[in-house]
Amino acid sequence: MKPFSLCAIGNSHAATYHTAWKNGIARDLPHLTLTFFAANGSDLEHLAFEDGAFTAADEKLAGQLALTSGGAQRIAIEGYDAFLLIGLGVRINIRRLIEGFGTVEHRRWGQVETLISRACFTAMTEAVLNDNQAFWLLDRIRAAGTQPALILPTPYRSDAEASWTFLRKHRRLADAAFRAKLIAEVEETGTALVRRHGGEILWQDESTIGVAGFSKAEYAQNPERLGSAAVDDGMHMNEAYGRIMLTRALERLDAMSGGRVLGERERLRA
Amino acid sequence: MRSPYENREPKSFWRSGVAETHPLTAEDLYRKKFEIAGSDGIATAGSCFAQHVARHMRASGFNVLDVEPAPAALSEESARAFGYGIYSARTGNIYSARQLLQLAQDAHSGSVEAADVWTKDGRFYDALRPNIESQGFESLEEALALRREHLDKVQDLFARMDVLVFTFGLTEAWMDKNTGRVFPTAPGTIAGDYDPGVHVFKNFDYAEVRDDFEQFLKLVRATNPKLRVLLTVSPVPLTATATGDHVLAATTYSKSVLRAVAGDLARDHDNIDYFPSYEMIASPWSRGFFYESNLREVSRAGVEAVMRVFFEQHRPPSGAAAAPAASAPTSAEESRAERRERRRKEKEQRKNRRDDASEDDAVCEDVLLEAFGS
Repeated sequence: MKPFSLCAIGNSHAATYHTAWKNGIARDLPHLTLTFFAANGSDLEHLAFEDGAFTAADEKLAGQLALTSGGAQRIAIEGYDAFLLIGLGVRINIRRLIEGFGTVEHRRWGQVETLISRACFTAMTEAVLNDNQAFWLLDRIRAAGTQPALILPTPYRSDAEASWTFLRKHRRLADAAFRAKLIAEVEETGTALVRRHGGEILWQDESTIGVAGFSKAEYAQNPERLGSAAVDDGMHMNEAYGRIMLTRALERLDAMSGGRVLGERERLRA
Repeated sequence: MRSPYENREPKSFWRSGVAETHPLTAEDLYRKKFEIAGSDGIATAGSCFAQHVARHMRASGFNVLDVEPAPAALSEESARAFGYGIYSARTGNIYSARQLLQLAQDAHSGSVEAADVWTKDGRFYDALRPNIESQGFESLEEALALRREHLDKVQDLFARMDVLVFTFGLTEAWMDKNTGRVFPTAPGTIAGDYDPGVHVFKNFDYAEVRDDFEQFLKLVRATNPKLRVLLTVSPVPLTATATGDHVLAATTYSKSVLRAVAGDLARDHDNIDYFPSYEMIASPWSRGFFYESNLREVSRAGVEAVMRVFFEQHRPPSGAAAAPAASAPTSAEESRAERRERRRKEKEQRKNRRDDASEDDAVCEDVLLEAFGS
C-alpha cells in the first residue's frame, strides 16, 4: 500500500477518535498516517488561514496544536491526502430547529406555535448546520485543494438524559417518532449542504443510537475529552464509540479516494 | 393693488420653494398632522417603496410591528427571500387599495380559497402574495395552511396597530372575473396561467380607489377606532402597462389618481396624514437625480433625502441610531475569532437597526414584467 496521510482537525470530540486510533486501528493500517490537530472549540476560533495553510493566531492554540499533533503548529492543505473534521459544532440542534416553529407535517405530532413552509424549514436547517467551524475549515480546504474531506458531527447526548425537563415540556419532542422524522429531514438537508461545500458528512452510526436523537448511554461512559479528567458529561463519547465512527470514516474515505485508505486485503476490526 | 398671493410664505412660490432650493435641503415641505410616539405600534404595508420607509423607521428606533417574525436561525437575507421582515406582516407587496381591502376582508372572515393558489412546475403559489415563497409551497395543503396562519396574524396586526404607514403603488391590476379577486401580479409572471376567459385587466379610477380605501378604514376601525394612517405614493413608475397607452402616460394617470386620493383622504380625515415622498423623488425639483439609471428605481440618496424630511417632523425616539452602518468587508484571511466577532457585531447591528448592505434592495414583483417586454 502506498502511504496515505490523513489529517484530523477537531475540538474536544477528537479525543475519542484519537484514543481509538492509537489503541488499535493504527496497528491495522501501517501505511496510514493520521495526524490530529485538536483544541477546545473556543480556542479553535483563533485559527487563521493563509497561503494554503491553517495557522494558530495565538500562543495558546499553537500550544494545543503542537501538543495534539506531535509538534506541528501549521496545517498545510497540500501536505495531506484527506481530511477529517471532527465535532467542531456540527450537530443536529433539534431544540433550535423546532422551538416555536414547525411545518404542516410536523403538526401531526402536536401543536405548532408558528407555521413555516417546508422550504423555509430547510433553509433554517441549513442555516443552523452551517453556522460552525467545520464549514469554515471545509471552505478553505476546498479553496486550496481537492482532497476528500469528511465531517464527523458532534455525537448526540447520552440517552440517560432523554428525560430532560425540556422534553417533558415539549410534547412533540418527547415523541421518538417525531424526533426520528425530524432527524431524517435534517440529515437529508445536511448531506446536500455539505456536498455543496465540496465535502461529505458521516452521520452518527445507527449502532450507537438509542432512542432517536440520543446516543446509547454505554458510549457515554468513561468518555474521552481533551485535557481534562474523564467525566460522564453526557456529551462526550468513549473509545468504543470512537472505534465505530473512525472505522466508518475510514471506510468512507477509502471509497472517496479510490481504495487508498484500506486496500483490498486490509480489514478493520471494529 | 392687493393680491391674494402677497404675504404668502416662500414655500408657496415655485421659484423660492422649488427652483431656487435644492431637494437635499428641502425645508417646510411637510408638516406632520399628528405625533408618532416611540411607543406607538406602527404597521407598514404597500408597494415596494414602502419597504424603504419601513426599514428606515425600524432602524431609527420606531416601534415597527412584526407579527410574523422570521425564525431566528434564518439569516436576514434568507428571511427576506421568504418575505419575512419586509413589512409588518408577511403580506408581500400590496400595490392597490383593492388589494389592501381584500386582505382586510379575508383577515376579518378568515376566508381561504383554493382558487387563490396558482401552480407552476408542480409547486403551489399563494396568488395573493406570490413572492413570499420563491420556490412555491410543496402542496396545496401547505399553501392554504400558511395563508390561514397569515390571515390570523394580519387580523391581530390590524387590531393593535396605532399607526398604519401605507404606500399606494398602482391603479392597474389583474382580476379573476368570476371571483372578483385582485392579484398583485399578472397571472403567468411568477406562477399561474393567464386565461383571457378568467383574468381581466382592471385600471382603478379615483372613485374606486377612494372607495376601496374608505371601506378598508371602516372595516379596520370597527375594531381599532383610534387608528391613524400615514399615506405615501410610490414614486416608482410602472414597469409595464396593459392599458394600451404609452407607459409614461399610464404612469402619470396611475400616480395622479393615487396622489389625488391620498391628498383628499388626508384633507377629509383628521387622523390621516399624507407624506410627500412622491413629490420629492418624481417632480422636476429633483431633476431625475434620485432615480437609478433605469429611471425607475429610487436611489439610496433619494430614499435618504425622503427619510431626512420625514425624520425632521417625526423625530426618532431618543437614543436610537438614525442611520444604518455598512457591513465591514470580509477578509479571506481573518481568523475564526475575528470572523465571529465581526458576525456578532453585524448581528447586533441588524438586531438594532435591521439594516445593512441590502439597503436599496427592495423586493418588487413587477420587475418581472420586464422579461415580457421587447
